[in-house]
Amino acid sequence: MFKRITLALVLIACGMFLPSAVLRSEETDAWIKRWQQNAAASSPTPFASLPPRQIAPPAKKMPRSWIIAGLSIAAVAATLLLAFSSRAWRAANVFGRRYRFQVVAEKPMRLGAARCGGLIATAHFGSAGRE
Amino acid sequence: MTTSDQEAQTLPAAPDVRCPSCGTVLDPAGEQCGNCKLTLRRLDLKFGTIPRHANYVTDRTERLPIIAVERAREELRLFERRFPQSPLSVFVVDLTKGQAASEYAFWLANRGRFGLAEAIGAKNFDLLLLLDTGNRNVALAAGYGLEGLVTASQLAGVVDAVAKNLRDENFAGAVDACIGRLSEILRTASEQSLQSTTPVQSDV
Repeated sequence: MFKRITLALVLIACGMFLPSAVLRSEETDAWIKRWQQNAAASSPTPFASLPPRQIAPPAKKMPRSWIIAGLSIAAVAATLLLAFSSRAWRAANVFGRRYRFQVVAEKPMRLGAARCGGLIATAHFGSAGRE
Repeated sequence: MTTSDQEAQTLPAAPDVRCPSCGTVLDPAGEQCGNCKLTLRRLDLKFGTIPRHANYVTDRTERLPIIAVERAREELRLFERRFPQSPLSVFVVDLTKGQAASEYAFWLANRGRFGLAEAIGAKNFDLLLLLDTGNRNVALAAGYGLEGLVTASQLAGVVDAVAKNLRDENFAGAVDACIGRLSEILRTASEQSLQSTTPVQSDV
């Protein structure tokens, strides 16, 4: 008895919902058909309001004289930099060698002099010939 | 200046050291010249006050172009970098007729403070180039340390080269010639010194 009542209820429910489901399916099919018919038509784009893109004209080539002038300035600047650097290196004796002397034993001092004992050379430059 | 404990060696007495006044060969330990009785004290009385002087170049005549002096100073600075023990100074002065350049150079090299104060005796490798524009003489004085390493004839070659340039009034050329010749001589002297002697002191 209970089973029968249940089956009846199920059938009633199906009778209520099935027609609407079929109807919806039919509506969907109609929309798809309509869309397929209009597929060839252009769809609106989100940037439709923007002006069409313009291609920039090709940039002008830099004049050769400018290139030569630039290279010349760079060469002069490099030369000056190198000249000043070499002067500084030379002044600092960066690449040069240092020469030293060994100090030997105390030497007897002459003429009461503590630094120079008379090792002197002279010349006259007014006219030829040494003193 | 540092001193090592190594035993000192004695150089042979320099045979060509002559009296700055009369040119007589000096006794290695003579208190005065055997001929003219010259002493440094006598020269003190003769020349008086020590003139003001600077490192590298002093121009008492104030006739040299500043550019030439500056250039010479730079060259001398470089020379001292090459030979740190041997500062070379140039002193330009007008001496009067009775004043000998050799006497003045000898006196100034001893009384002036061109190099290190502690460079005394064998530790003194200083060089002084004196240009006497009054009598047109040039003198080059070397410290005790260079005796035995540099000869008087080598120094004579240097002053001859200097004099040659000074005849043309070429001060810069004279300094260049002096530096060039001295560099050659001192380079050789340094190598000989390091090979032949036992080191006593590392630097001055």
